[in-house]
Amino acid sequence: MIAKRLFATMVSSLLLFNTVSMTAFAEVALPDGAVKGLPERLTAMDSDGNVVSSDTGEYFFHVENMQYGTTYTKDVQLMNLRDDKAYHIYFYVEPLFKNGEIDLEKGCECTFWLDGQEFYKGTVTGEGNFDLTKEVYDCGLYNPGDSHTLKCSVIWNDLDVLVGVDNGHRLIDINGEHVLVGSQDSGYVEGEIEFKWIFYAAVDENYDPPKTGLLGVNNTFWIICIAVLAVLTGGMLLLVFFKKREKQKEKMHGKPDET
Amino acid sequence: MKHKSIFAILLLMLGIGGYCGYRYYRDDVLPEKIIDETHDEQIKLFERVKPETGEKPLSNEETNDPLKPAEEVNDAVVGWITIEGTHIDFPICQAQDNDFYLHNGFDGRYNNELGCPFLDYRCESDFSGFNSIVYGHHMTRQRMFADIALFKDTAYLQSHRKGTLTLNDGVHNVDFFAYMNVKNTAPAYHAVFVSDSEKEEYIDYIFSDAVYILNYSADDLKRNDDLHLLLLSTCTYEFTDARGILIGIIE
Repeated sequence: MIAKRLFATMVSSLLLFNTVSMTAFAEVALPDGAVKGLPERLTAMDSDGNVVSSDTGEYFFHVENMQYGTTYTKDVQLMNLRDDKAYHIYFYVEPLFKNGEIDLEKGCECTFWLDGQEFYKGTVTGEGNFDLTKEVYDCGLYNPGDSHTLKCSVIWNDLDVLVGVDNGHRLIDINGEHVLVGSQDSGYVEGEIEFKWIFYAAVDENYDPPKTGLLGVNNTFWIICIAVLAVLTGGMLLLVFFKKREKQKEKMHGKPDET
Repeated sequence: MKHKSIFAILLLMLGIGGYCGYRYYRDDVLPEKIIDETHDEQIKLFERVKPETGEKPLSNEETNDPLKPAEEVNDAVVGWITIEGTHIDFPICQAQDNDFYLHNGFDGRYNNELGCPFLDYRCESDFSGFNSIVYGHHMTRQRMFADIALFKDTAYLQSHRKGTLTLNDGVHNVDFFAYMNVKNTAPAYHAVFVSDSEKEEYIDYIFSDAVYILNYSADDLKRNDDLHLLLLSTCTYEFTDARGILIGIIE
């Protein structure tokens, strides 16, 4: 019969939904000035039109009945639609739960790209080239109108997680490759995983540059006024003085003629 | 008749001159006098609470916390900055905003707008953050942070490179290496750093926009995993909203 190349049939879906209060495990402390969630008109939206909750910054990535070898991707567009301020957007990952016989947390590989540039490869729970559950990732500075694409792909590519699973499935070798065959060829195992991304923005909305200006008054206006007036007054006095001297000279020159 | 007109004009000018003299006294001389007196009082207070770190042996309490005498006056004090050979020898306070210590003195009381040097409210109060921004007024007669503007001259920095920052845990040397002349809204005043890449961008920004840099390369700073920058900022007047920032490394 058909030896299924790894574990078979599957309905797989990536469900994105916003729900309230899931258990949070991450220990990321947001820095001062950073606000969990995204401010108004700072938007994160996936290709299906699902948006990140602006209050909490939560975006849920839920995978049910994952099919071995299939890549599930999601593109999230991060946009600053404001026209007044620039923001840094950050995110980190919180694992929520795993369910079923297969430990998909270990069996799946997760990759993140920002604008096509890969920056993370590791487990869906955030343990990879760096720990996304403890270290936040800087998605960059978003000036008004800026937009960047955060892409995530998840693939179940590790068969070791089947070791110990006892529900009628078995691993067989076909042409040197491990292939999972289900009981009565059904090929189903139950596996489900969910993790969420937490977005937040660092804002300096309250920052008002202190005015440390010169207080000890360097005001030269009144001094200039006094100087101008002094020059004018001096000029007038000189004028009067010269006029007076001129008159005296005229008088002196006029005297001999008179005598 | 002519003499009378001239006499009247002269009288008028003398009157206007008298008014200008009065305004000069009221607007310039008197405030300067008041600030002068306030400044003298403040300096006396500073001398009383200054951490005694070098000249005489510290008592046990002071050894544990050199800022203790200052904290007895104001528990909002977070440090004490000194740059040898300059007038900069001040306590640093921190409030919930960047406004309070613009108008109030070290004792928390209004002091005729002389203010008191203060740490940006967004910065870690123990100066453990990536950068710590301290503001102070640029006053006449080289009071408060006026000396910061002198650092625009490379030679001045070369002769005043070393400073000390006294914190609760002891005295830290500060190696000043750069001066920036920027607008008050410049990225230099960014105080929230989350990722390493953001810190590296900030270092690159300093190196690209500084008036000059001494002794360090950007790579030197990037390689330092435990880098803590100290920025001393005051108003300068090269252009509207100009600021002078002296940058050092807390060792």
